Amino acid sequence: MSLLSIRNLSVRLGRGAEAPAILEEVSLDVMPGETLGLVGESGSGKSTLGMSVLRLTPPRLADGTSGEILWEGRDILKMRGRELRGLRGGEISMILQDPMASLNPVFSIGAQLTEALRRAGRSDLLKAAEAALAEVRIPSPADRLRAYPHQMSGGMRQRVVSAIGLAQEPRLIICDEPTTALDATIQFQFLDLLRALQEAHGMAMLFVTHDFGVVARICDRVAVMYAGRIVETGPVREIFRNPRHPYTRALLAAVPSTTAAPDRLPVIEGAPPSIGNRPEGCAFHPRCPLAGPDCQRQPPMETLAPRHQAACWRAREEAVA
Amino acid sequence: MSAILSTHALGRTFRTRGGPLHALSDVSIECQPHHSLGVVGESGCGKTTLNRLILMLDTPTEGEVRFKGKPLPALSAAERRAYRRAVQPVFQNPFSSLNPRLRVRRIIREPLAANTEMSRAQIDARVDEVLEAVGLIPRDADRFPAEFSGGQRQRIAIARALASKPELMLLDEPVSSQDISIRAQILNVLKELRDEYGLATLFVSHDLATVRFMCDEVVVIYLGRIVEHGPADLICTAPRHPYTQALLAATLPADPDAPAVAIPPEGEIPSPLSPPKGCAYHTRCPFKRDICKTTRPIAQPAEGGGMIACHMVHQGGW
Repeated sequence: MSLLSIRNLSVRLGRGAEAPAILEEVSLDVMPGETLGLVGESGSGKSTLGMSVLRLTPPRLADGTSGEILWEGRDILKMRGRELRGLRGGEISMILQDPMASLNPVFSIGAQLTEALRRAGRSDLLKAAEAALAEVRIPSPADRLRAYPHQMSGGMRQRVVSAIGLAQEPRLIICDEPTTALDATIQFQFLDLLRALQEAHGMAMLFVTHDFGVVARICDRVAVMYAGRIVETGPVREIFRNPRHPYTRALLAAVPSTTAAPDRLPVIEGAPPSIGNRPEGCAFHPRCPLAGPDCQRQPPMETLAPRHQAACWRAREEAVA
Repeated sequence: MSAILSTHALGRTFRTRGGPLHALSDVSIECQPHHSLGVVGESGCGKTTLNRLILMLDTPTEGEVRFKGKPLPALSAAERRAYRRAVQPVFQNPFSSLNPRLRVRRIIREPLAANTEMSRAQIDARVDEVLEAVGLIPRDADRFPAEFSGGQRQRIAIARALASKPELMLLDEPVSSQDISIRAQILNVLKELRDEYGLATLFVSHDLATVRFMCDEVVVIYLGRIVEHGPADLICTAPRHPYTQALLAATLPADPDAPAVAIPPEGEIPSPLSPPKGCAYHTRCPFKRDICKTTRPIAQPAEGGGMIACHMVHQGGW
């Protein structure tokens, strides 16, 4: 039984099926306790998908939004007022890329943390806040409660955001590129912390990223997005060892590695299409080495192995190197 | 003495209200033709300061930069123009490094008009030539930057750098703001151009994997000082300085079955306003001894090549 079930979600810039789409017919499930990676390049729609789950997309997109986002059977797209507020930061929390934008610069860390804890109905707030900072491995937590966001490093701020996000014991945490602005050694520590918190609290995680190294490190399952659609989804090992969509294959091949120094990196020619300029049929076909006439039609999502699906007419063919 | 550019005990200290900030200390590097040197480090390590000093956007407080053996302040006006022509930068963000109000032709032409004696016709021919070299077409010269994607803009920036036939390209995180599929394209273009024109490159990056792809040799900087210097393959497979080891461990491979990291990176990067005494890395180092807290290690040649500034490595320590 999935915790979150997204069914045929489309987000368009206007009404009607002809309006340019940011997301097209996206279906996705998140199971309790799992980490699902949402990976893609800029403009693929991965952030819009993450934001849609909490209805945080700009209101002007509401008209063009269709499909269902089911949270335990209830459609988030139909929720309003109190019900939606209870979901946000309650059952589902969010960690964004820039912690400075999530934290209020004029309130102390302690004030912001105790506000979240009070909402969670906790008493003895100072002690609870100290424990929350300790849990996210912030050194000398009692002293740090008096600190303001600008007095902390990027890594420490992101830990504070996590502590606030965990205050109400969410069952799903949506992370949108939370480590992209962090240095490598700090990113490493933060990912380890997230993994530990997730296990301790039994949360599911929807992790939006463009970085396959991060995916390999932290995710159980991956969905690869291209031009507003999910093109392939499967268990992390399956996607890395046996990618079936030509886009996934090409993307994985294009990542430089510290263990080998080839003369050239394999490339995908061209650039991803912009919203409103997406090609007919499979959006990847103009850049695809395997494209044929049938690619003018949108390929359906096909199940290739248990839990492994890809939307490509050639997904069953052997990889052409 | 064939170095195009070299730095000698280069340092830059900023005076701030919080006291002196040593952004860069005692950095000596050399850029040779046909050779690419990588500079790797995290935020605040001094990468940007190094670039600014080389580009004469800032003046060192210690040491000097030399162009073909001659210190920059000693260059005559003509030599200085030659220097500006010979050393060309490509910056991280092609959205801010290209003037949005100029057509591509003008963007590429400007450094040629300023620093060379080329005629208008020669310049126009050169613009077409460099656009093609970076995978664009001559017609693109009449468009504005806003008409191009991020990857194409970075190609324009590279074309501009290439136009004045530089001897050294200064690449400051040229692919960090690019998507994966575009990143590979740009890296390939840079590598091809480097090999074709025999350029020296100084490649500044926070990512060891990109550096491995692009560079022959790497210096690793921590809080303004070089901690390790060596061949790229050695730095990326068998680093010896504990900081380089931590940096490599933190470079996540795109492989879910990658072996577990033996020694995970610890601690935060200290503020450069109050760097730790002794070895600046000792606060995060799993191998530290008492001497590391009091005495700064001096870079010494290490077995297998390169230089390392670490007490423990040289004592055959840990």
